[in-house]
Amino acid sequence: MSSVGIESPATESPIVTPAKEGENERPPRIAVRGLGVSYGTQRVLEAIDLEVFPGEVVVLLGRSGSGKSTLLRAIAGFVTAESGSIVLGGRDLTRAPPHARGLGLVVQNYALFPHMRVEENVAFGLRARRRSRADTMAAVTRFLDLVGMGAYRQRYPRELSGGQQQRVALARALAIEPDALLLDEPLSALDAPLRAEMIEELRRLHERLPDIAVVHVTHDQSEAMALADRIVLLHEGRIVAQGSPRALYDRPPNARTARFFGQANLLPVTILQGAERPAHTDAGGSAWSPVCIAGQTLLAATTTSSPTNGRALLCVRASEFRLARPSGAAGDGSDGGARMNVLQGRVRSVHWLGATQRLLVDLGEATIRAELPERTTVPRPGETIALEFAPEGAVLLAEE
Amino acid sequence: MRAAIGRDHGLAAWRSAWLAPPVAALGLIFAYPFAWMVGRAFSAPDGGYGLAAFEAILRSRGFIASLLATGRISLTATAICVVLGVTLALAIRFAPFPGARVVSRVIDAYLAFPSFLIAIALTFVYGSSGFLHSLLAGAGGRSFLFGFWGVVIAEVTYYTPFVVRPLLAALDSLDIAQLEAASSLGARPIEVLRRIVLPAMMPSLFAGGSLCLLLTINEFGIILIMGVKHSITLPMLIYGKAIEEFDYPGASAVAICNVALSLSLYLVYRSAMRRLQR
Repeated sequence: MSSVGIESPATESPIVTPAKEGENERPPRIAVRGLGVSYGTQRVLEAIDLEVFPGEVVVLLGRSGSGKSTLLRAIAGFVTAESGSIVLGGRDLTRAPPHARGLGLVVQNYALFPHMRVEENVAFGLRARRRSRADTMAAVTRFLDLVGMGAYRQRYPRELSGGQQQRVALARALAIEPDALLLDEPLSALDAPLRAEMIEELRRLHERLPDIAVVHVTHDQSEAMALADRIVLLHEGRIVAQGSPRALYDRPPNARTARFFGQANLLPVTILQGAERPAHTDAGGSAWSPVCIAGQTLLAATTTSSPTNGRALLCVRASEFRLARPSGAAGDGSDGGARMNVLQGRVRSVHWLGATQRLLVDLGEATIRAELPERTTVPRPGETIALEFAPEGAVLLAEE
Repeated sequence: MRAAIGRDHGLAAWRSAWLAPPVAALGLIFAYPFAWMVGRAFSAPDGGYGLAAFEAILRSRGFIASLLATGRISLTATAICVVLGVTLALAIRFAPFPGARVVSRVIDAYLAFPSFLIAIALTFVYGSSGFLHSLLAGAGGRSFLFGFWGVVIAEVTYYTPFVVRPLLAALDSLDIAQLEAASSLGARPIEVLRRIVLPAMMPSLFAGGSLCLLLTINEFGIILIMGVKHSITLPMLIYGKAIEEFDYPGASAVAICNVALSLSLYLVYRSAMRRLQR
């Protein structure tokens, strides 16, 4: 995998999805190097490096306009690379037309051929490859069965539901046995329950085809989390982070990444310097840094990209907070396992959300959003509250 | 309930009352002349009714010749319109040349022109008093315009937009993602054209083609100006029989044949449109 991104401290190894061992010894199915793309005078992709290995699901994640779809379309050959190279299956296909690239493409609106039956749709790529009729029919049967659409081969696309059309589109793309499968927002046109079902379906499909490389574009972080071996986060045409979903969630390398995943509080803090700064490196090798917000001192986990002095942002998820035990029992910092950060503030509002309740807590310099378990008895708005959270759940990030 | 039904009946009667004047007006201006024409066509020389007029025109060489001339001109013009129309529509949609939008607008505006205007415009350019003719006259050139090809050129000029317009609509509604899917599946551009684009154009092409055929069969103005001596089509035959020979039963019989031909083509056109709209 690329070196861009984050370093996971050794203590985290249980929660970081293990990279597939030996993967890096096999050549990548897709290798994009220094890719730049412009639409007219507007630069939409800048210096993109990306490798996708056999058996790996890489999710390109970003908001609309981040360049994620353009990157996929550049790999597919529909967008011309202005600079850099695209190597597919060991061959440099930077300038090759789409039909010579041998990639399976599935798009949001399925793009099934309306005048062809399901089986003709699936057979299309094989016929274009001049496969024998027997081979073609065998492959059509195999891949329609694989996506559970074997009973529908005589139907026309307009006679199928959205989810069924998407399965046929998958079978059609898989039937050519592509080097890699490119999925461009494949689930965005489906409603929520069907989307959850299709996510499971895609996971099962990948288990049955363990060797295929997948590039999946989405703007939906939960979809990315559920499907990705590796998430590549794009913003304004650049890769801002990449890593396993777990790593990006727990140790975001920058504020933009933190904001993209889950409900992160990004609190403005000052890093404490000099004599005030105790050297904290625990047995596992994680590094810690004391920081200060609103006169309260906290301990933050640091990564290689964390700043070492001055102003910084402390990333704490809303779900990290717990109601603090009575004062004096926490926050002594003497023991690595038990030490907890405590923040005191004034409750501004409490919203009951069913399984949790959301509190807005005013610190003076900043407002924290905290989600506490539903059964916790919390102070009323206007009263003071003490919240505690583990230093492992607080990552020090550079200001933007 | 009964009251409601009564009211409905009242409403129906009221609606019929509203319909009566337009139906009467239509009857007067359309149905009566048509009925008169049918009556003339089936009148016998002895004052009774019979098929004498039809027998006469079917025996005359003029009718068969004009039927053949009509078919020859309209099929040739339609075939050229279809080929030209497909090429133009594909070029406007997929190979946007400078001014493609203007061409598309001109095609829209063209549909509003009267057809004989094209014929007159062509005679100004290529006709016996046109500037091209005077250039060619010195070289012994004879105007090719007044005759079969003159009529075909004028009809192609005028009716090609009738084919292009529905084709452009069909191409506009064609999902580009389908073309991309096809090419990523390994289809070369020519294969994408043949297996995805052309099938998507088919209903519109069929509709546009039948409309074109229908209109060229019944074309009158262009032929009157450009082909009168060489191309006696059905409308020209009717015109000649009625206006020059005062043979009203003969003219009416030919007219009935013309109407039957047009109606059957119109039915084909409607069924193509229904397929298109489905």
